[in-house]
Amino acid sequence: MSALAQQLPAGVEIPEIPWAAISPELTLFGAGILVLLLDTAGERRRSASAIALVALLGIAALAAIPGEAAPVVVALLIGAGVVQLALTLWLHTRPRLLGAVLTVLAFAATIGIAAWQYQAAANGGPVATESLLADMVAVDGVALFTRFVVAGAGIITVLLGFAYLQDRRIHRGEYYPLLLLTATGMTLLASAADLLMVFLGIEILSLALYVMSGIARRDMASQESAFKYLLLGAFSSAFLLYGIALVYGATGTTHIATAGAELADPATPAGLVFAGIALMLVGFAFKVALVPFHMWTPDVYQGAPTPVTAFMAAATKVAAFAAFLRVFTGGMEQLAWIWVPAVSVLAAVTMIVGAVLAVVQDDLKRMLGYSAVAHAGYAAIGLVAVSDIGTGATLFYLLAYAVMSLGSFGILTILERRQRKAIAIADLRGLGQRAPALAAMFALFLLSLAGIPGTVGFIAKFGIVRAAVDAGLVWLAVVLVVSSVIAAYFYIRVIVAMFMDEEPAHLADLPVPPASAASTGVSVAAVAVIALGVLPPAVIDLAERAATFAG
Amino acid sequence: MADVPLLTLLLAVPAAVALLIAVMPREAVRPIRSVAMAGSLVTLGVAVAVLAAFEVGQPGFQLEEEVAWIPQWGISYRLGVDGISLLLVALTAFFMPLVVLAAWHQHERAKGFFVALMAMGAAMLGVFLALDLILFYVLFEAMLVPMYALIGIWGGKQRRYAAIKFFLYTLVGGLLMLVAILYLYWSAGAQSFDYDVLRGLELTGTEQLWLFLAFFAAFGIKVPIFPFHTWLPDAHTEAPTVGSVILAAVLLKIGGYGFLRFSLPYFPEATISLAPWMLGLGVIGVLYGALVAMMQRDIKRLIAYSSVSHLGFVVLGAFALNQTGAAGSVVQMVNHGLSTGALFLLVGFLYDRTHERAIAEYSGIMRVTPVFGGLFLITAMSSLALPGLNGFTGEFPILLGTFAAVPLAGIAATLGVILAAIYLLWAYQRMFHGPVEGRAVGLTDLTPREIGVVAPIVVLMVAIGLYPGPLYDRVNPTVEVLVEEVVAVAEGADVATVDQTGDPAAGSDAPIELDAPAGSDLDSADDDDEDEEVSR
Repeated sequence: MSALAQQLPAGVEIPEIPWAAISPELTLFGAGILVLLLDTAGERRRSASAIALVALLGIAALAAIPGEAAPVVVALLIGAGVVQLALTLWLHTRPRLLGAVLTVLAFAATIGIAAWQYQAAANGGPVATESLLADMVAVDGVALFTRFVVAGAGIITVLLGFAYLQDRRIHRGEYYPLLLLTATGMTLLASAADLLMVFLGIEILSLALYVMSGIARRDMASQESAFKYLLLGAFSSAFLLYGIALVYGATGTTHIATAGAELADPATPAGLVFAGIALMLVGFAFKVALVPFHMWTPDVYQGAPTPVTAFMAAATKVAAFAAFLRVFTGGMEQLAWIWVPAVSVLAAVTMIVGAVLAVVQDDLKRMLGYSAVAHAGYAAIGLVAVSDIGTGATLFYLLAYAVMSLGSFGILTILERRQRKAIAIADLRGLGQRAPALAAMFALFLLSLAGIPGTVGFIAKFGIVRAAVDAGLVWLAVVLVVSSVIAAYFYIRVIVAMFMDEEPAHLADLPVPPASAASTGVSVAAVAVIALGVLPPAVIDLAERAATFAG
Repeated sequence: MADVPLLTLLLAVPAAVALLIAVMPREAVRPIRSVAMAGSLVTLGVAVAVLAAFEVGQPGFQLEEEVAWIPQWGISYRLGVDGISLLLVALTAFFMPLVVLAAWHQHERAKGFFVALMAMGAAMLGVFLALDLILFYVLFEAMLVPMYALIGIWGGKQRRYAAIKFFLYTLVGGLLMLVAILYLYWSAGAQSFDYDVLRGLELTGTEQLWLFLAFFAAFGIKVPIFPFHTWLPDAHTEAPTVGSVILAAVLLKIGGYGFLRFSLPYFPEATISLAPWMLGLGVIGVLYGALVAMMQRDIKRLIAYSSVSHLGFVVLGAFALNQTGAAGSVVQMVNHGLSTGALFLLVGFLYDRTHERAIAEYSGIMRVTPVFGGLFLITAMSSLALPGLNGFTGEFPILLGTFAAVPLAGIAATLGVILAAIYLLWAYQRMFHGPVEGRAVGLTDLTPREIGVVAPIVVLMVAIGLYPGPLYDRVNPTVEVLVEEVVAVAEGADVATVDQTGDPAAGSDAPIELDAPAGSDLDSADDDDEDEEVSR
C-alpha cells in the first residue's frame, strides 16, 4: 500500500482510497452509525440488525481491500463482529450502556490504530505522511497527535457523562452517535490537507456539537447555549468559507500547501490575499475563541451539559488549533509577515482579557469558560512562533489543556450531581473536609491550569514560553506571565473556598459522592496531570516529532 | 558510601513519607504522626551522613548526582552541595523532627497538616541542592503550595488574606526569575539549564543589570528586603506555630542563599554596581525592622519584624563583597534560623496555653514558669547577638565585612544590634518580670515534650556560640572562591562604578587581612568570643 501515494497521477478521476490512513475516521464514523442503528432498532431487533450490519460491513471491506492485507482485515472484522454480537446480546435491554461501551471501544480502537500508524510512519511503513486521497487529507504528525488526544478525551467524556446524563434525564439515544460523529469531524479536520476538507471537518464537528449542547431540551440555559453556538458557529463558518473562496479566487486551488505558495507569489493580487487571509483568520479565531471573537464561549460552556462542555473544551480546541496550525503555520509560512502580527496581538489580548474576566465570575463553569479563553491565547503563541518548536509546544499545550479541562469539568459533573444545580464558588465551601480526595484532585487541576510546577500545566506553559523566546517574541512571554499571575488569583480563590472555608449547613446534609465512572475518569486525568508534569520527556518527544506537516 | 545517592535520598525520604501519609486514613492520627516523626528522623540521619561525607576544605560541589530529566529542553536533575548550601541543608533537616514534635498534638486535619509539612521539607531541601535552574525553579515554586496551605488552613483569623498575599508575592517574584532564567538559557546558546554552564556566560552590563533585577525580584521578596517585606509580618503572624518556624528557620534563607548562589556569580558586574544600593537596603532593613519591632504590641509580630532586621544583616554580608562578610552571612542564616525558630516555638507554646499574643496581657511569667522563662531568655540573648551565643558568631563577621567595604554602613548596622537588644529585652521585661498579672496567672510550665523541642536548639546555640570553627571551615573555601571571582571582575572592569562602592581596595584586602591561612579568620572570631566570655 506504500505504493499508493506514488501512484497518484494528476487528473485521476476516482482516487484510490487509502483505507489504512483514514481508518480512524472510518472507525469512529462506522461506530457512530452502528450505535445509532442499534438504538433505533428497538429491543427485539437489536441483535438481528447487529448481525446484518456486521455481515454487510464485512462484504464491503472484502470488496474494497486488495489482496495481501485481506486475511488480517478479515480476521479483525470477524473479531470485531463477535465482540459486537456478544455485547449486543448481553446489553440488549440496556441500550444506553450498550451505546456507551461501543463508543468507548471505538475510541480505544482509534487510539490503537493511531498508535500503529504512528509506529508505521516512524518506520516508513504503509502510512505515508504526505497528502492522500487526491490531496484531500494528510496523515502527518499533527493529524496523528490530534487523533490521540481526541480519542482519549472521548473515552473520558463517556465516563464523565453516563451517570450525569442519567440523573438529568437527558441520556438520549443520539448522544453517543453524536459524540462519535463530532469526533470524526475533529480527526478529519486535523488531517485536512485541503481548505474544503477543513470546512467539511468544521461543519461535521460543529453540527453534532450544536445538537449535543442543546440536548437538555427542557433547560433554557442549554437551549440558549445551543442556539448561540449555532448562530455564531454559522457566522464564523461563513467568514471562513468566504475566506476560502477568496483564496480560491486568487490562486485557483484549495489545496493548502499549493494555495499558500501561490498566495506568497507577488503576482497574486494583494487585495485578495489580504482579504482571504483576514477572513480565514476571523473564522479560525471564532473557532478557537480568541478575543474579540470569544463572546460565545462563556455562554455556551455554561449552558451546555457539563460533559459536553468538557469534550468541547478538550477536543474541539485541539482539532480547531490543529487546522489553524495546518493552514497558517504549515501552509502560509511565507506570508507570516501578514498574519503573525495580527495573531500575536489577538493572543496577547486574549490572554489578558480571558484572565481578567474570569476573576469576576462566580459560576464555576463560566469561570472555566473564561479561563478556556485565556488558555487559547497561550496556545496561540506556539502558532505565531512559526517553527517546529512552536508547533510542538502548541500541540503539547493542547494535550495538557485537554487533560486539565476534562479533569476540572469532570469534577463539576460530579458536584452538580450531588447538589443538583450549577456550582458557584460558594457551593464548594468545606469540600476539602467533606470529600478530601475530590477536592484534592480539583485543587490539582486548578494548580495545573495556573501553571504551578509539578503539574503538566507548568511543563506546557514552559514549552510555550520557550517557543516564544526562541522566536524572539519575548513580549508575548511576558504577557503570558502577567496573565498567569492574574489567573492564579481566581484559581486560588476556588482552592481557598474548598479548604479554608467552613462548610455551610445545607451542604453538610448532602451525601458524599460515591466512587463512580466519572470519578474514574477524573482520576485518570489527575494521574495524567502529575505524570506528565513530573516525567514529560516521552510525550514532549511525541509532540515535537508530531510537529511536521505534509508537504 | 560513595555509591549511595545521598542527596536524592535526602529528598526522597520526606517526599515518600508525604505520599505515604496521603494514603493513610485520616482518622489514624497517631500512626500518621509516628510515620512523620520516623520520616523526619531518617531525613536527619541522611543529612548527618551528608555532613560526614562532605569533604572539608574543598570549594566545589560535592556528592553530585545527575540524570537527564527533559533532555529535549536541556533540563537535568542535578544535585550537589557546597559550603554555601551544606549548612542550610543541615539546618532544614535539623528542624524537621523538631517541628513534627512541636505539632505532636495537631489533631485538626492532622493528615493534611503532616502531608504539607513533609512535602515542604522535601521541596526546601531540594531548593538548596538543585544545580539545574529549572529544577531549582520547580522546587522553589513547589514550596508555595504546602506553605500556602499551612498558613491558609491552619492559620489565625486573617489567614486567608495572609495566605493569598504570600502566594501572589512569591509567585510574581518566581515568574520574573523564570523569565530571567529563560533569557540566560537562550543567551547561553548551550541549550542547557545547568548551573555551571550558565555561570560561565558572557553578559553585557545592561543584560546583567536587568537579569540581576529579575532574580532580585524572587530573592528580595523571599529574604525579604525592605520595601518587599510586607507579606512577612502577615504570614508570620497568621501562620500556625510550625508554619512560622519553617518560614523563619528555612524559607527566608532561600533569599540569601539565592543571592550567594546565583546573583553574585552570575552577574558580577551588576552586583558590583548595585552593591551600594543593596547595602543601603540592607541597612534600612536592619534599622527599619528593629524600629518597627520595638513598636509592636503583638509578640509574634515583634519576632516577625526582628526577622526583617536580622535578615538585613544577611544582605549586608552578601553584598559587602568580601569573604568575611559573605561567610558571616551564611552563618548568620543558620543562626537566625535557630534563634528565631526557637522564639516562634516558644511563643507558640505560650499561645497554645492562653490564645493571646498581646505583650500587654502578660506580666511576671518568669515567676510562674521558670523553665519557659529561662529558655526564652537564652533564645532572646542568642537573637540579640550576645557574645558566647550563636547570634554573635554571624553578625560580628558581617559587621566587620561591611565596615571594611563601606564603613558608614557598618556603623549604621551596628546600631541595629543595639536596637535588637532594646526591643527584645524590653519585651522580655514587660512580659516576664514584674508582678504576676493578666494571662500569666495560672500558666503552666513547659511539658517535657516542649522542652524536648527547644532543648536541641538551645544546645546548638551554645555550641555554635562557643565554637563556630567547624561551620566556617565548611563555608569559607566556597565563599572564598565566590568572592574572588566577583572581585576579579571588579578589578578587571575599569569602570567608574568601582568608585561608588566606597573603597574597593578595602573590600578586596579585607579577606587577606582577616584570613591569613584558611580558617584562621574563624579562630580570630572565636577568640573574640572567648575574650568576651572571660570579661563577663
